[in-house]
Amino acid sequence: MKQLLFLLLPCCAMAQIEAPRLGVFIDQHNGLRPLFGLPGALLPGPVAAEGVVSAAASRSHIVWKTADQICIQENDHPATCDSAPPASALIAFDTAGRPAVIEFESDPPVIAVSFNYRIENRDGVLVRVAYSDRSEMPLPGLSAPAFVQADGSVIAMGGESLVLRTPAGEDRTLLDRKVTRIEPLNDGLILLDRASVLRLRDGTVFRLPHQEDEP
Amino acid sequence: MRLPIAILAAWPVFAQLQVVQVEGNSETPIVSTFDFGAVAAGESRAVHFLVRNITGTSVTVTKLAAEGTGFTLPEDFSLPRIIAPSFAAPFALRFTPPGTATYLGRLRINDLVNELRGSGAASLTLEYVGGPTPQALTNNQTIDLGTITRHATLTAPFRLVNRTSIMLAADPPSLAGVDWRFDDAWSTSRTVQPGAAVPLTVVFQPNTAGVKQAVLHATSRDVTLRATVQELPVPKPALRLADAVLLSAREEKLTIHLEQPASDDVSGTIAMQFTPDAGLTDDRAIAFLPGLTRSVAFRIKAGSADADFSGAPSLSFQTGTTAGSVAFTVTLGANRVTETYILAQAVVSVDSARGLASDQSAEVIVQGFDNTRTIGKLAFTFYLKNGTQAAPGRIEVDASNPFQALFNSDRSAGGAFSLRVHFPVSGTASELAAVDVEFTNAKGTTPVQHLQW
Repeated sequence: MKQLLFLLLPCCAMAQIEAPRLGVFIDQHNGLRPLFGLPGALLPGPVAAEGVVSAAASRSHIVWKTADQICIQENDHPATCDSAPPASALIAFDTAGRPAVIEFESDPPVIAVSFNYRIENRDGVLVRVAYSDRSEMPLPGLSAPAFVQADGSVIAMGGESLVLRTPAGEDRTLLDRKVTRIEPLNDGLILLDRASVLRLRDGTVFRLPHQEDEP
Repeated sequence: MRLPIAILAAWPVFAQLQVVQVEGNSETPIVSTFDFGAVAAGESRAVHFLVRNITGTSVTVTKLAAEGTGFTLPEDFSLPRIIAPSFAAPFALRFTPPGTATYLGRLRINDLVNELRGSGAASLTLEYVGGPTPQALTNNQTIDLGTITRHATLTAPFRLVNRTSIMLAADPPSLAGVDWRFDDAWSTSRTVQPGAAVPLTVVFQPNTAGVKQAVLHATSRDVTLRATVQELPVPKPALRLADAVLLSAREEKLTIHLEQPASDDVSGTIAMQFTPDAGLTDDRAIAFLPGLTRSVAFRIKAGSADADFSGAPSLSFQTGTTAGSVAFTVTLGANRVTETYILAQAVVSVDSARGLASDQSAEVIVQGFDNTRTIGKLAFTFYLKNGTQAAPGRIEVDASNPFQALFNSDRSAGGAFSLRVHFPVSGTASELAAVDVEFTNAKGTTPVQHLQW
């Protein structure tokens, strides 16, 4: 029997309208800054935390790590912090935007995580590992740095180019230059070398504005 | 008895006034005679003096006169002149010997008399021959050689002419001034026959702009050479954008080129002025990268026609998410070029969109921008997995107020927005397959069709 489905409209349907939050980044002074706007209209926000070594954000949560603490902030609530080992962290969120994975230093080194995959660097050979069943897939021809998406596709260096390898093993060149650091943003964007933003859908690169806080 | 009377008659004269030669900050009292020394025949030497009241009461000067051939008072000295006790009045004397002889004269101030002496000397005549006719130059004269541009070469021809009937010696000339030099000077004294001339060429190649001077010393004369140096003319700059038409939410590049290569290193600025359309406010995302500034300096190296922006051949900027006009003004030297581009109003642009469904709700998340900031009506049409529209069909919502609240707040990011709409579902949301979304602003409607879960 087909169930009837009704959609309730009116006023309460409007949940939220705000400036787009594209995520967070760590500025050149290790300050954590939110990033607002859209590609072509990027606006860094003021420093939210200092001494930050790793950070990531979903629409609802920000997770950042300092030398000895890991902090989580949900929306505009105060952040909660716990002690953490003195290393950088890899952070991933689930599809609802909740923190799902926080990886500290490990052996073999994990260089990228999503909520369902991790990328390990085993003596220079990248391997994708599924959290769900521990299944592994070698990633020949790819090297660090790397970024893994929720669908299992991997963005990493393929020679001197940044490439996207689909779960089916097909490669698409995103950028014809070498990058040394890849960090996550929201909405199909990734941060390259903390200097530019790559839009994955069309491979367009945007410069990340640097804005000093007014004294 | 007569002698004391004569002394008494003369005493008040010497006691009242004293003549003092003034040279810079030093004063030398004149004791009965002043000697002008040797001055080139036909030329002049002026000397400045003070007449000082050395009494305890005021003295009225009723007479000031220079007597004798060649001695003159070049400036007016109004008479009578009252000089208070210990005060002094300045005046000048000029000696212009008409020939090669010794000349005697007198300076009379009231009853005070000083002898004047001077001689006319035979000398070479210094002439500037860069004009239509030769110009004889006298001591302390200043000659203006005109205006040139920096790094250009100015050549000023002079000559030393013997207009006497005897042989005269031309000592080596000297030239004091930065970037000035002789082209053909001599280093040892040379003889100039009557009626003959010795050429002397001064060359000036300035490295800096401004009024520049040098002192030419030749044949006992000091002549000041003056030239005005202008900055090199900078070719007119032209602005080029990678795209002829500006669209919102883009990162664009511009370059600056000169009509011809610069002849010297030059610096300039490019400024951006954004004027939002009527009713809209500024958009701080519309700025140069990476600093989000609206003014950037650039350099153009000598021999190049292309601007250099801190090592990059182009300058990036964001076009933001607000309609209006962007005026770029390039200032380079005296050149100022402005070009204006329009960020035209457009329908709502969707950058990303996705749907989320759970058991009891459906959610639509859209990020985009409205560069008119007039977004109003939203429409949603949900579809079931069997392809039919979900009840109640097309859902229209007037979202003007919440959008205006965002655009007018200090949390705004131009016309960019993130919209998250939550729909409670009666029934099973897992039956939902897709949704059509429409955004309507002043420029029209933007459809986002069949957004899949």
